[in-house]
Amino acid sequence: MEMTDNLKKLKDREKELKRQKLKNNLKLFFSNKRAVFGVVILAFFIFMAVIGPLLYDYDHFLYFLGPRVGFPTEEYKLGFDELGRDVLGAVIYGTRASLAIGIFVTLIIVFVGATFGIAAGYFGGLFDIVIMRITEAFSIIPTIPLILTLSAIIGQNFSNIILILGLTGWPSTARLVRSQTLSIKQRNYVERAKAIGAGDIYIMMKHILPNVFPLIFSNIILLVQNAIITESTLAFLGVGDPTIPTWGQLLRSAREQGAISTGSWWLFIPAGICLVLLASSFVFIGYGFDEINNPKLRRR
Amino acid sequence: MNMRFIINRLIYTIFMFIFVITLNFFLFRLMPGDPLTIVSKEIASSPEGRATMEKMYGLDKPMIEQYFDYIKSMITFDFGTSFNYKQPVTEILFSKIKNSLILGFASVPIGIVIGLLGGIVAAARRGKRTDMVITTTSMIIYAIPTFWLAMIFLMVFGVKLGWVPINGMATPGVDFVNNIAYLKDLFYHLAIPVLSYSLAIFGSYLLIMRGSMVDVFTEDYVLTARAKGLTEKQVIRRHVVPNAMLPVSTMIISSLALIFTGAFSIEVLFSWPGMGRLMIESVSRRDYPVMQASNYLIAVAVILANFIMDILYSYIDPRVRVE
Amino acid sequence: MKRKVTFLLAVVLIAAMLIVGCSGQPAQTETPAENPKTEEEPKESGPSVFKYGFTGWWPDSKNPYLSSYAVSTSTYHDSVYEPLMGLDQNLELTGRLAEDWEVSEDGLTWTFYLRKGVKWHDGEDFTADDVVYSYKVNKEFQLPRWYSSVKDFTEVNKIDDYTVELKTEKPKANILDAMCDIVPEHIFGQYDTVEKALSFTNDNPIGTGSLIFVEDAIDEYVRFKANDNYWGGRPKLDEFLFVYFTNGDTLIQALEKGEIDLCSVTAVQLPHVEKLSGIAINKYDSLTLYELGFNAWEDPASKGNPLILDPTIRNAIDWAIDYDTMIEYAMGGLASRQMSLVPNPVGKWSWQPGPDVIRTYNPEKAKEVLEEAGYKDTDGDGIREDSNGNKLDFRFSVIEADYKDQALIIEQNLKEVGIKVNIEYMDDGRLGDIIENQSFDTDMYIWGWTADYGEPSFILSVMLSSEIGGRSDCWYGNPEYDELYKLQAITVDEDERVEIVHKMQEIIYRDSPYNVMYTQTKVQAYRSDRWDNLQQWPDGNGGLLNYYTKLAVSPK
Repeated sequence: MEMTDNLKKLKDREKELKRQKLKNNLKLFFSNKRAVFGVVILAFFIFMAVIGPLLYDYDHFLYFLGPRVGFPTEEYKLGFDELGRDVLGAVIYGTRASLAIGIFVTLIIVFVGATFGIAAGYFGGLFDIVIMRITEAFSIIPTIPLILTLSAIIGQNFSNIILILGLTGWPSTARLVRSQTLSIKQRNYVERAKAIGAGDIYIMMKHILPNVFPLIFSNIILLVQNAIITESTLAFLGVGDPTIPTWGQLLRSAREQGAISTGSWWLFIPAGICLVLLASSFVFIGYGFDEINNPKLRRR
Repeated sequence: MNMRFIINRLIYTIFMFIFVITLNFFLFRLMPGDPLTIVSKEIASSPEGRATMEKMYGLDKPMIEQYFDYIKSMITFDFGTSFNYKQPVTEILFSKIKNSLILGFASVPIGIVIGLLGGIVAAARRGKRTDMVITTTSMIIYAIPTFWLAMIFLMVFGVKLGWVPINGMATPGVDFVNNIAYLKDLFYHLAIPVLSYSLAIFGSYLLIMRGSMVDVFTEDYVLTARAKGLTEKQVIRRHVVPNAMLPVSTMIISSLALIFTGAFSIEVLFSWPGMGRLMIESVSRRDYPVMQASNYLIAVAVILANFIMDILYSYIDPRVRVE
Repeated sequence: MKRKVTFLLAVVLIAAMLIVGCSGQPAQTETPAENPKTEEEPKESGPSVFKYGFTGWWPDSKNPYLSSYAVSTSTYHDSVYEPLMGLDQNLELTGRLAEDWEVSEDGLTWTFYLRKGVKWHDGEDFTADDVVYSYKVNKEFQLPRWYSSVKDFTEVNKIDDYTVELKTEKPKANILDAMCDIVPEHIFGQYDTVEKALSFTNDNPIGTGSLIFVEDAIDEYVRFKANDNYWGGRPKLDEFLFVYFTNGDTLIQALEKGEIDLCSVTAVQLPHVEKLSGIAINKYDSLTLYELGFNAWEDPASKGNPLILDPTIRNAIDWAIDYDTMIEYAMGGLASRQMSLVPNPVGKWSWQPGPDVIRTYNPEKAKEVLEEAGYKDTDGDGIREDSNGNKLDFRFSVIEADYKDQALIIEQNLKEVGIKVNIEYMDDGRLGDIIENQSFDTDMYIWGWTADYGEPSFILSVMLSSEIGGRSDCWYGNPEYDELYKLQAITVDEDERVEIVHKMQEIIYRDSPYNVMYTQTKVQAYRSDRWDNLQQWPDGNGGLLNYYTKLAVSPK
């Protein structure tokens, strides 16, 4: 009876400590003005993605609302694109596309990268060598021609783009996870777990994974930012799904329609600013987490 | 000198080599369409004509034979003739690489230097306002998509102010009287691409340098140095910066590869006749020789360098040999 | 950490390779003849240099028998080489390297009387040997570009140094089609096997034309100089330069700054260019037509939706599409509605649908046609089905770079009349692959063709069943059409031939393997403050980059 009581007290204490840590971290995080700013911007975009379509009725099948690349009017504050579509609507709806891409690509990258990384780091030996060589092979081939080639092979609709971005982006995460795994592997609780005969999968899932995650958290945030920016670059280069408007595609239209020379600012300024803001917010947040993990970054 | 280690690495290198080469070959042929379908509408030809064209491109041979031809050409560095340009691939590659290198050597060092200096200053004043401004600015610029940044500069400096040309590497069709005139023209054409490219990359250097310096600041020897009575500036210059540079230098060296493959969107936007643009165009033209050769060159160089590095490192760090 | 230092070595290695390579040849070719170096800005007293700016693809080959890109023809081949006959400014047959010609009574023998005293750019004499060689080598070696044009000649005989005879089995109505570039036998003749001929890059083209090749730099420019001894008179200009740009914005900028003298202008740029001073605009109807193509392949192996084989549906689609709005938005107004296969600017060969068959924009009529044919929407989902419940649900393969706007408009138009299309975007290589190598695994697509002035054979040939797997992109097969094609090729009487060609277009319009959409209106801009006497070809409604401009254009 005493044992269970003590055990319970230990567990409670553990929980209490965890709660404290969380509270401290949150306090730290929110004292970082920049990170807070990032959260605010991100929240704004999430709001725009969720609520925007409800408030602003944009049926992206509606063409010819205005003249080709027409000037902004009272009703259509950001003018029209080359099919007479409403640019403001495209910008609002582009938010969803950008966030979707950011999230799903990152999910794929983290899933694949973490799986490979943990497996390689944990099992070591031949496993490690093979996985790391595959990783290396992938990272040697220049990314953009590889993506162009892959999209020519499997098509460039929205889901394929997400797939391709995910499948070309995991090497660096795998490497990172592997090195973290290597250091965690040495820790006491892992050895203890092995000693009492815990299975490998169990150890990986219960001990290694949860401990690796906080270390790579800021990296994950930056992955989202990277995915969003890469997609916009690809759309700019022509690899995009025209049925789903994204900010990158607006910029591509801008270039095709010679927006710079003709001064059609509504085609490339709003989309670009959105990209910058959304991407910046992820960077701010990501580095905010960095500063939590690495206290030296904070002050003298 | 551990013979076994070297042989080990050699074997691995060869495997990587074969893997990448094979991937190179098959990946591009997986793409739908081939050089003939691309031109089927241009000047259409008869079935016999198309058969002749296949012969011209070597596409009439069975895949196995094409594969071995390909392996042979890769080993002998005789990359054959470009489908698109009907010129030897090596000539085309070299002239494009040269152009990319010009852009790269102009932009990357600038970006690195700005980044490092900025990182030093920000770290020296960390926690204060200067730091906040510098770091935040570089974060924002880091987040901006490169091509958009370039578009803005293009608009401001090229179109509105008209200070600089907005296309290519040289004013087309003009013979230059002497080298000075050519260099002057080149300089004007380099201005915005270099500006855009160096700004695009300095951000990550700055942030990493700052992080690294901040790490070093808390080390013991810094405390010692300060205790010895050195001024802050001296401390920074003599102790912090050199030590902070170590992890950063590896990053710098890795981005040197950026010098000729990282500038895709810049090359496309400014029509800079470099490797990046060549690689992108050869994908859509299904120019197999050029695609294969350019990917191959990059891969080979990296693999070889890896191998040499592994050997060198085993000297520096004995632990590696045991791995 | 290792990885990063690795890259340093990688760069060093590549830089080393580069330096080695750079010390070799630059990617230019220069003639042993003069290489005039002009000053940075051509002054009044210097040579007059006409600069044509272009974008798109760089020419693929300087060998006129091996190249496939249209741009190679418009830059290199048309400047340096000449055929036996061409079309004059009113699109009438006129002699170039042949002064005169005649055809025998039975129509099977063509005799060409060659121009005397013509010299190749390297000083050698042009004789019948060159003509005989040119025709023979294309046929024997089956060289890609001209084989199909010259294969009908069973014999090519040299009668004397300046007379050549070409024989055919059947009368040839489209002799213009067989006018291949004549190349110097003393240069090309050395490549006497197929392998050698296929590898001959012809780095320094020698022809008989009004311009002599001087030098070029890949992806940059091609320089020609005037042929002082040209049989048609020396061109008024001294040098002709083709300058390559990789995007249209900078092309127009260069025009503005005076760095080039003539270029094409897109719909987007037109409003801006029109306002510039010192620059004149030339708008003309081009022979480039665009079609909404269908999978017309009736073979059971086709992977297309079988419903798309029904001409009624294809006709209904034609009724349903608002081409005028499409032209306004997708083409910026720079196109003309085209209904028949042979574009209107080709002249009398082009057929116009009469009031009883013509289809105009009328969605109600489209619905009517579909209803009558039994395609009704029985389950209320907005998509029609046939009596067996098969839905009018089609795949639409669209080349993203060129036709995405048009496709979106079509999708919307068809939705209104109860037809669903699923757009898949791709590049042209993939579309070609889907059609040729994947058993035509799609239902609809958009593509285009450029026809020839004065000769409908090419554009008519794209509908031949013999071109399935070849030129054809819709894989239409109609024995009646094939027969008519063979007939018109040997009908020498022009009026008769016109009638046959019209009948062929009527058949196509009825069966609709294509819904032809429009022909492009092209626009060029040039510096009228610097140059005079640019020639339109054809006169009155044509482009400015042509044989006659090269001769006549003169500096102000």
